[in-house]
Amino acid sequence: MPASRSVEFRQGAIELLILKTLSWGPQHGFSIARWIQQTTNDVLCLEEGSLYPTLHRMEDKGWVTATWGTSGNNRRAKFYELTSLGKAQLTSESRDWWKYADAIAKVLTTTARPVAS
Amino acid sequence: MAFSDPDDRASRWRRYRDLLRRHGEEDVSDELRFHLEMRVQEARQAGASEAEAHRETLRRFGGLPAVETELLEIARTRDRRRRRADWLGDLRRDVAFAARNLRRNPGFAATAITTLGLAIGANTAVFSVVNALLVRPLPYAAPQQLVTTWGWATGELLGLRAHMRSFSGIAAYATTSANLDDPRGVARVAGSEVSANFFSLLGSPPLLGRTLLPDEDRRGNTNVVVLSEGYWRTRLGGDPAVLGRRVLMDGVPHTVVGVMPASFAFPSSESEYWVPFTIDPSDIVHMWATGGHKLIARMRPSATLASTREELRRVAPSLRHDNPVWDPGPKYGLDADIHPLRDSIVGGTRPVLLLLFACTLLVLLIACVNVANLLLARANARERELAVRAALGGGRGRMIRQLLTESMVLSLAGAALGVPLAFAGLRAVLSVIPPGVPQVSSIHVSAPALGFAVVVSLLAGLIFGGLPAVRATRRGADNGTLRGARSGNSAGHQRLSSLLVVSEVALAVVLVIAAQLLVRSFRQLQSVGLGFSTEHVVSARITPVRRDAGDTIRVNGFYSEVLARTAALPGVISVGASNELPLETRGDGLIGDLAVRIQGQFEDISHGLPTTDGFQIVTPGYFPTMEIPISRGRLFTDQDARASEPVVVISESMAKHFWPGQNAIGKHIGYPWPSPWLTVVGVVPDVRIRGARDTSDQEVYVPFAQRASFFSQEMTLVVRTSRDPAAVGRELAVVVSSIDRTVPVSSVRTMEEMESRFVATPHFTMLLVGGFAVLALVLGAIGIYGVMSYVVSQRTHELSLRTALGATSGDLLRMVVRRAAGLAVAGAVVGVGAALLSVAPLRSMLYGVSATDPVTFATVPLFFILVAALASLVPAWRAARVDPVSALRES
Repeated sequence: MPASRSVEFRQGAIELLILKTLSWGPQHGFSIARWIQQTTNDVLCLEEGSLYPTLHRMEDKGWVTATWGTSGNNRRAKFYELTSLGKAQLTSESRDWWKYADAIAKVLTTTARPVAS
Repeated sequence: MAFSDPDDRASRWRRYRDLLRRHGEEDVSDELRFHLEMRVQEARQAGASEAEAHRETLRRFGGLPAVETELLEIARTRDRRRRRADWLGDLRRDVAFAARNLRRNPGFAATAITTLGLAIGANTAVFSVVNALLVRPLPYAAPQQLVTTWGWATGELLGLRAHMRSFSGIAAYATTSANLDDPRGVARVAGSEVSANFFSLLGSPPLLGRTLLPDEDRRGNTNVVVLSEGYWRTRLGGDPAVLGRRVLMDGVPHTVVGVMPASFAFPSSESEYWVPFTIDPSDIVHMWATGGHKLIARMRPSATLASTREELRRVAPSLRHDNPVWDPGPKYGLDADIHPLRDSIVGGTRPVLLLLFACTLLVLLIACVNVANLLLARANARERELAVRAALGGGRGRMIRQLLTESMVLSLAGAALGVPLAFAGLRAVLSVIPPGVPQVSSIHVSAPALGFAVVVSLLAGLIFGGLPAVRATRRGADNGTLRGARSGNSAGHQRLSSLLVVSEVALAVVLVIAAQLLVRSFRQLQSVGLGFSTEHVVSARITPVRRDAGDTIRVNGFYSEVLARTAALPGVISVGASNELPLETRGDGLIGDLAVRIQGQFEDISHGLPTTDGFQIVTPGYFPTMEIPISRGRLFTDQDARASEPVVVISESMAKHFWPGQNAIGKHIGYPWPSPWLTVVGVVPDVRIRGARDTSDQEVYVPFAQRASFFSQEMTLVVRTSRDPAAVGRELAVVVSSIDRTVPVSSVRTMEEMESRFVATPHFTMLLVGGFAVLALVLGAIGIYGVMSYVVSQRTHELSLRTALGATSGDLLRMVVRRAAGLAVAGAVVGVGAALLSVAPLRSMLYGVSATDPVTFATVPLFFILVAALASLVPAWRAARVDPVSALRES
């Protein structure tokens, strides 16, 4: 069940989440969506549909490759897998994300009042 | 092996991949359906009803149709990109394969590329000239509205301005020259006299200052001058402060009001200055007695050439009654005509240019035929290869495409070779281009010209590379070829190939005939006796300024000093002077029609005086210097002085014309106005003043000392030397300036230079057409060689059978040569026919040779047959050496 308050999801970060999800190995679109949902306790209000265009564009960019395979319940599904380019992308994007989050956190946790000029 | 090239493997793999790849749209819907079904299943397992599960799934998913559309778009883009990459990859592979194939057949490749390169280079060079002179718009405002017309008096100019409705403006111009006195000394400079509206009519702004004001052609206002950029830069150092400065022109101060840019070259690029032309309606003699002005007029946008011409033919005769001086007669004005400006600028060069252009097109055509033939032969030779590839599943489209790529690669390589050749060729053309061709400095290798030649050769490659490719691959489908039967179709192939050779020979024959006619004509021109000798003679124009009417004695003294000091120069054999030299084409002297009185025959000035071909003022030394001998009587001596009895020497034609069967010596002639009679004291042979084509021959020579006062003071010195005449010519300026520093010396030229200038146009035409003819001949020979080699290689089997049946190698040799000669005969017959139909435009360029000169029309075809036989010798020799055993075993 969705959380009572969900955070408006930042579009640019969806790629980062997908890259992270795939870092454990190939997965199909549905499992990526479910994994994100479960990991975040459904805090992120992610429209699952928006996942697919992002995945296909990442495929075009060469970060992931897609192959048709068989899912756990024996159905045909399209599996996505990180390429080495995708792995490098994950490393650099998560570093950026941490820098960003760290900077915001610093501001939010500061106790010193701004000096009037 | 050629047929296992990687491109086939690549394309097979691609077909395979395409088969496995599900269609993009299905892919998308499968993936989404999987997701939705999984979600529904999950919700159902959590206990939701069917309807709830569906609702919840769709809510979670967001806008399904939008997502689907977006995914399909991504898929389509991806497909497009992949197709483009595939295509480029194929192209790259095709080009690489073609290049490899060509490298493997260097003889074929070199022949085809050289052939195309030569043709493209030659074509581009000549087309660049044609483009610059005949196609590119003239550098004036709305140049299509500009027309010229000649032979008008100033009074008539005003009449035309008043009555011609078709014109928005009419300007007059004339070439002239003056002694310009500037900080660097006195120089004789060529320039123009123009009416005040000249520049505004052409729509040409000045580089500096202004052009002429509307009233600056009225008497009293005319002492202004507009200089050319060239003169301003070289003689005045490009000083912008030149405006308002005064320069002395023939001793008269003129104020510089403007400088025209170098791009302005009207009436010609030689014009270094423009001064106003005086229009003074109160001076009746000036207005009506001096005619022959050139006019340039601008037609109104509504007027056409035809309507303007029609109006002029109506207006001009009506001007007859405007003439207050005399009645020019009922035929006056009827032949008035206008010409588009370009015609009057390009003039006599146009037919030459068109001829050259036709020649280059012929050469380009021959080159294309040649390459077509080579490609054809090659396609046939590769039949087996193509059949094998087809049998192994090579796509027909791919094979055609690859053969086409090969011929495109050839064409492009030919074009790459053609570009430097075009630059070199244009330089060569410009180095022999006749003087007087306008705008030579603006002729560059032009991009449209290059594009034209490249496109033509690409088309040739496309057509002649494409046809055999289509045929060869179609035949590849039946596998008779595979089983080793050599080309069932080679007879048809040989027919096509022979047809190409015949047409190639025919085209070449036309060109060589044209060239041969021009060569013979040029030899005729040169062998004609001019009536004087040009060897070891140098000339220089000397222009003292007339200071006042009584100046004649001073000028005479000046000239006798010049003659004496020149005669004293080392290596000078004799020296003379004349107001005008043979082979000069200035037209502002008095060589040119002048009426004459003949005592006892034509004495009435008021009507019916005969005209002569000119009065020429000469010093006694003129005749020996030019080596004009005396026929009867005597030549001038120093005793024929100003105060002694006035005498003349006349030409033989004149003597014969007026005193047939009598002795002309002692007879009297006179100027066409009341003046003392002049006694004929000598007769000299005719001189062709205007070169070999000149038919005017009635000349009168007047001694310099006795010249009438209206003759110009300007004379041309002629010096016969035993040394290098050019070296003596350089010393003449020193001699003259040591006598009078203010007198400029100009146009220092040897008579041989002048003679070559005179025949420059026919020489140019002959050289270029000759060059193209040689090119055509070589290409024709290559064509014959190529096709005979091919025929021999195709008939090895037959030839070996013949040998086995007792034919000697001599028989085989003869057989091949006879075949080649047969092709040449067919080509020659067609070529002679085509030449007979197409030589008409040449007629006006020929001298002393008929356009259907039987010698030329007989020798050129024979020569071609000989060339064909020679070109077939190598293949024939190869045929004669066929070893029957191995050839038969091979088949």
